[in-house]
Amino acid sequence: MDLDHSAMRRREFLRRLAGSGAAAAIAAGIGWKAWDRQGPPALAPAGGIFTLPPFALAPPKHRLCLARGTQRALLLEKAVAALGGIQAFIKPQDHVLIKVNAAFASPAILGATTHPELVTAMAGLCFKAGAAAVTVTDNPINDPVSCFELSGIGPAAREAGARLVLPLPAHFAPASLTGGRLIVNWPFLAGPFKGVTKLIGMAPVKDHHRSGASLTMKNWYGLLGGQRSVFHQDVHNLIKELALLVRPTLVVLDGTVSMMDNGPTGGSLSDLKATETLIVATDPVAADAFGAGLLEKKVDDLIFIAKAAAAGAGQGNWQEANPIWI
Amino acid sequence: MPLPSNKTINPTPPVSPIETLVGAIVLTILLVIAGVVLYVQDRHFNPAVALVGQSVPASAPASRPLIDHPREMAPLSAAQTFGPATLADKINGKAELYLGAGFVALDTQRFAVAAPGNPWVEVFRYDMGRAENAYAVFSSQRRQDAGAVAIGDEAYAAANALFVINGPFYIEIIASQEGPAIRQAMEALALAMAGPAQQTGKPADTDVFPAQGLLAGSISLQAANAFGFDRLDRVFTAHYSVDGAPATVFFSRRDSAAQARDLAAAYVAFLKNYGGISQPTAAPDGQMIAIMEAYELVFTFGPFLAGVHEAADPRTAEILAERLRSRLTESGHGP
Repeated sequence: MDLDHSAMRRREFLRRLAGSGAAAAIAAGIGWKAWDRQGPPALAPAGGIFTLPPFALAPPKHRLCLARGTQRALLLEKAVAALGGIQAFIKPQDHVLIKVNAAFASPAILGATTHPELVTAMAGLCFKAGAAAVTVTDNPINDPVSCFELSGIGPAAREAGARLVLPLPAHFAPASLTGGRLIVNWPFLAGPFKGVTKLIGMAPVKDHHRSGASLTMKNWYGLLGGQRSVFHQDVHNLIKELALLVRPTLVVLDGTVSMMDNGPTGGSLSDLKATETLIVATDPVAADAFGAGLLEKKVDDLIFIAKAAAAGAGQGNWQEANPIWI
Repeated sequence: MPLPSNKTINPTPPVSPIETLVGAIVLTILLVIAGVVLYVQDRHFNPAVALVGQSVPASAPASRPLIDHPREMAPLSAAQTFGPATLADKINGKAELYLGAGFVALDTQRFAVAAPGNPWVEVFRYDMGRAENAYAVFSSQRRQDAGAVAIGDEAYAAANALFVINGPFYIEIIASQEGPAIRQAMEALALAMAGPAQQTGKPADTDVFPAQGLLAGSISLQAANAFGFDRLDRVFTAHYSVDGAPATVFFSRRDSAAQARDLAAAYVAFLKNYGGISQPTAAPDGQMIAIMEAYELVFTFGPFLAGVHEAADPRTAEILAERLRSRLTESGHGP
């Protein structure tokens, strides 16, 4: 009897083992089959995944020009000339995209948006170099028409003969930063980049409640769509990733007047200070590092600068970018 | 009914040690797999994916006019309303300031002003839920060179803007240009929304600040994350000058003396964690911390956590702490 009982236990054990093994194998197989290795996209990728090409040229001898004065258009012309002239950056038949900061429907005098004078001047320089087309764009999210019109950017773009592209749902496609943690399949303002061969970023110097400052690298935030405010929880790493994702031909940082407090919206003329410097650079990190000083901040105060520099997006010590003062 | 004697019930065989071991191994493997899956998911967290399927309400046109605006102004846009989920669409990175202070809703609308140059103004009316919250966002953004205006609970004007609190509402009126006509239009709008001066908006606790050395217009309420310490909320601050040396006096009324003491200890620990070093002080029950070439003096007084922030030297900190302690005593807030 003992032997029979023992044999029964072995059989029962083997039966149970086989049964549970088969169940586990079936469950694992179903899981493996159902595993979506990509995950769902943020938006239906009607146009597929968007890949942003690098627009940066080979680093010139001087990566930064610091032009002192108050007349924006004149300073821009002089600074670009000091870096080798507009022809060094824009070639005949180029299609240039100018990414402005048109985040708010506020007048130009408040310094919350790219100054329209600079938009006109930069578009004019590009056409002078033979550009076939110049496009001006941004994604303000709320009421883009008012943002472009009331900031004066829209009229400035039209005056210069540039094409103004307002963000439409069809313009967005998911984009990812290779190796990125935050910008993964995120809706990106891809439409205006169609056919573009050169990219110029133009931003004002502003205080920013969350990141400490809004300068040239933060300006790329306006290329994101979706519920992008979620990124404010990790804004320094987001700016770093934007700096790695977007490699411009040129950036212009308007520090002729800087928003010292209550940014990024400001609202009062008393938030502004005449800092009388326009920065034109091929290195956005160096430009932002200099911009920190205009806001009376240390470079170390703006965590995203060190992060972007460490990630290889540019020179965190602007003096190492061989600047020219004019 | 009795069971037949020739039938026996097979009891469940006892679980052998081998079965127990195999079971434990299988469960361990499953736990390891679950752990790896969770780790990988966390490492590759994609907020885009996390947000798929969430419906975020878009800003909505208001069903009624934002305000009963003066006749000489014409609405330039429809009124819009933003909630906590959409506030950033309107004011971008500034949203955190309001969300951290109890934000409920924002109504906005632009108006054309009949004046040379076709100026316009935009009205922002933030419903902050409570008057204290409205005071927090009003005071923490106060422009130092602006002049007081007798509208609502408290108001001041800059060259192109007017800032008002009225009960739980914080109102900004931003103009496209400056000038007398604009100023008049902004005041008319503000009066229509907030009425004439009420003198009731300033929280009563602000009277605790000692008058000697107080820099005008510097009283502020930090709703959250004061001095970078995430537990320090509802903190009143004011800037002082003692013989030319600057410092900030602060206090926060807690629910009990014990809570005030706990928070003081936590704040001191926070300062030390960031390199602060204890210094001797003559201030009774005070703790002096030297940090980043400045001095912090922290003490409690009944339910109040109080102190001096970023004093240029220990003497300035002790003088201001003593003045604050005297005012707390005079105003009947003693332990």
